[in-house]
Parts: sequence; structure tokens; C-alpha cells
Amino acid sequence: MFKGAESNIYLTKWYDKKAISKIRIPKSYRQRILDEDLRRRRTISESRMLSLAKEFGLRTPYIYFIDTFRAEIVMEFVPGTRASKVLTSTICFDIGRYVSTLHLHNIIHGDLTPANFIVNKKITMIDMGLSFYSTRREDKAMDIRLFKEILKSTFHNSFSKFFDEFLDGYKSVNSKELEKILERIDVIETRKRYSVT
Amino acid sequence: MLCLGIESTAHTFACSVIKHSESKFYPNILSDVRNTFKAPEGSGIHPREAARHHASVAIDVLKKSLELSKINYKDIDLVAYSAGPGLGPCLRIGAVIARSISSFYDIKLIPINHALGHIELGMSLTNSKDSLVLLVSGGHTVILVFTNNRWRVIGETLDITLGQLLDQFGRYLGLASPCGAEIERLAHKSPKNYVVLPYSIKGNDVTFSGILSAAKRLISTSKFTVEDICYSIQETAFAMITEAVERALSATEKKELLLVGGVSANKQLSNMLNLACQRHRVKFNSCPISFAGDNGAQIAWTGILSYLKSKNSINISDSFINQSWRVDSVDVTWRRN
Repeated sequence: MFKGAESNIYLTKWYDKKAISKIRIPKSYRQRILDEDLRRRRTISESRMLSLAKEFGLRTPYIYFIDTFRAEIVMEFVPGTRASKVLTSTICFDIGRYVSTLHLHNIIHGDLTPANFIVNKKITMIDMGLSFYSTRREDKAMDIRLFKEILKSTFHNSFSKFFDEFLDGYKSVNSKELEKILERIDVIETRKRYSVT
Repeated sequence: MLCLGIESTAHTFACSVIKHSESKFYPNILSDVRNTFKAPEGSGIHPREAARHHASVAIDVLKKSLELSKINYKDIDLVAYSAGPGLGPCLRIGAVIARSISSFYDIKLIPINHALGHIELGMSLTNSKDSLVLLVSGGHTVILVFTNNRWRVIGETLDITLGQLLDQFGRYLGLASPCGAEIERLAHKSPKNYVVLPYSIKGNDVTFSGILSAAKRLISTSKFTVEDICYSIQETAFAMITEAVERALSATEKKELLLVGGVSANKQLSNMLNLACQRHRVKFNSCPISFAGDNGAQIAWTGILSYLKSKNSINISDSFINQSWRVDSVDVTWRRN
């Protein structure tokens, strides 16, 4: 049905329910030992994280089944459009809210792009393949920085509006830490190459 | 129209003359002369020493370039120089030469961003139209896409570059910079003994410093041969950048990938990117090896492109160098989205 960067997505059935099968396919360019380890680890961690996020009241697909050898996850089919196709200020606000909730529980998304959210009335977070636990401010800042960079490069015209909404959404859940995290983003940005300090 | 390009960002001082004719929109490179600073074994490029080298070879390189092109100073219409990013002392040598020629012969002067030069020459030589670009060299490791008049960064290294990883590890082994080719040769001799090294990818961004530290530590344990470690560094680092490219490809839905920069000479990197491109049915282009490393042609060609469209040049008093001139801060007027 769809070919992602690291996995193939198939529309399938789980008993009678419409379901999504996400298989992380082997990468021929990667060493086998490295490849198998990465695929297996990401499969386990993604399904764990998607389920865990539900406990914080975030909408994510239900996990029906996982197969660590094939690196496959069978999960709920969520109808809707990818947020990257229909991005608005409201969606950015919601994404901010989601990320802030994750961060409050020390979960880092790791691949925070609008393409990883599905929109139909409400938003659903569909991809947590690179998510991990961390209490470090650096990692939280990395999440926000990635989102900022994506907005800057792909939604250049509405960048500041979208990003402000995202930050407002973030603040609506937890405003205490944001200031410090934003400072940290500045540190990260001056660390990258040819940045003007 | 004839454009002289002067390149002096790092270890290479180079001059090239490109002729542009209305009929054929392709870089007609009349000459391409380079002289590269060789660092002593086990040490890197000292900016002052490299600049001293550039100053001593500059006139020779320049003369040879004009001779090969069979032209005189007076025939030149534009002088383009690389104004950054790069090593300050080295950039200054190129800028001084460019300014001198410009003022003495009254020729228009154009500052060019070095990274942009890599991209634009690569795009033209491979006939790419709408590519995702991966620029890998000693100074850059960055994934770019063209939107809204600029080459915008969608993924890059958060610490050292791919070239630096290879160079710094090579120096640790006592090789002379640049070490990429030697490390590739050593890696090729390994019986494919792979040692797991830190694989770190954050969204579309990568970090290589973990690999460097881990690889250095492995050397001291002497459990693995140097060849195996070189092999493992390449396999790990290239897999990371390939995965980042794959992510960028699926995010941008581009149908072409262009590989440019000094490290693009590495065959294993090309192989891996090619495999990734096949899966996404993306056309894989690589800058010809002869123009992978730093050269004057990239500066001359970008100078022509820039001048043709904007007719802009700068006064000597406004000319500058900028050691940290990011490519995503340069407006590209000649390319359409």
C-alpha cells in the first residue's frame, strides 16, 4: 500500500478488522548483524511506545500483533490524511500538545515530522519507530528542533505561524520547561556546522 | 563569456576557466588546475600552513590555468572566488588574488559559496533537474532540497562530517590527511569482519563522533585489525547516512538523488546509496570523480550561473570572506522550484 523510508506498509485484516501491517524490510546496504538488530529493536520499541502513549491519553493505533523475526507490527487501521498534506495551525497546536505530553513522561519521539501524524477531526500519532526514554533536556530539544527544521524546509511560507502554534500547544500541557528547552535548541544550533554564533 | 574561478577553502588551491556560450548550457571547462597541500603524516591541515602553501603556488596555478585555456587576463569577463565556508587564512589567499585581478584588469568580481559550487556543478555535469542532494566532504555532510529559492537543509551532521570522521581516524593511525582513499583501501582488504559501532541517527540528522571515539578505543584493544576497523567505520557511517537519505527521499518524494563532494569518490558509499535508490525507484547520479573534490570549475560555473541571471557583481570594497557561510543562507536566483 505504501513504501516508507524503512518499512513497507500493507493493508490487511486482523480477524475481521481492517488492519495495517508494518514490516521493516531488510536493508541490503546494511551489515546483516546491524540490520537485524536495528529492525528487531525498533519493532519492539515502537509497539511498546505506541501502547504506552495511550496511557497518557494520546491517540495512537492499537497494536494487535508483533513478530520480531520478520520485524512486523500489525496495528489498527486509522483512516485519515497525513498531517504533512493538510497542515494547519490547529494541527500544529495539537502536535505540540502531543509532544509535550510525551516529554512530560520522558519519552522522546525521535522522528517528529508532520508526516507521522494522521488527521481526521482529531490527530493520531502513527510512527514511533525512533522513540526512546530520556530525561535529558538535550533530547527533548532535539525533538523540537527537528520539527522546526522540517517546518522551515517544507512549509517555509507559514513557518513562523505554524511553529508558534506548535509552541503554544506545547505550553498548554507543560509550560515550565519550554524556556529551558528552547535555550538548549540554541545551543544545538550553534554547535552545528557553519552556524553564526 | 569567460569566467575564472578561484578555489581556496581548505587544502586545495585551484583555478579554472569556464567558457559559456548561449547555444549550449553546459559547463565548457577550458582548464582545471589544482595544487593540494599535503599535511605531514599523522597531522591535519594547519590553516596557516595551508595558506602558506596556497600563497606559494597561487601564481603558478593561475598562470597554468590561463595558458591551458589559451587566454589572457584581458579576455576574462568574470572572476569568481570561493568566499566561504572554509579556513580563514586559506580563503583570504583566494580572495586577495581574485581582488587583484579584478581591480587591475577591471573585471567583475563575484563571491561564491563553496558548497553551492559543489551542488551546482554536480547538477549541471550530471544533467540533474530536480534532485535531492547529498553533499559529503571534509567540510560538509548535508542533505539538501531546493525550495523557495534556496537549497534548504533537511538533514545534516550534528557534529563532525563524514570526511572528518575518516580523516581524524586516519590521522590517529598516522596517515596523512586527506585519508579517505587510504581508509577505503584498508577497508577493502578486510575479510569483511564487521565490528558493531555506535549507530546514531536522529530524525534526518546523523552524528559521527561516537563512531570515532569507539573506533579509536578498538585500536588500543588490538582485538581487531586496522583493516577490520576501517571496514566497520565505513559500513556503519555510510549505512547511517544512507538511511538518512532514504528518509529524506520518502519525505520529499524526489525522483533523483545527486551525490557530490570529496567523499563521493568512495565506491562503497556509492554502492550503498545506489541500493537504497533502487528500492525507491530513484535515479542515482554521482558527480564525476574528477570533479568530486574541491576544484575551481565549481566556483567558475556557479559564478556564470549567478551572473547570467542577476548581472550582480560586487565592489572590491564590499568583497568579503565568511568562514561560516551556510549554504541555506544563499539566495539562488537562477533555479526554479
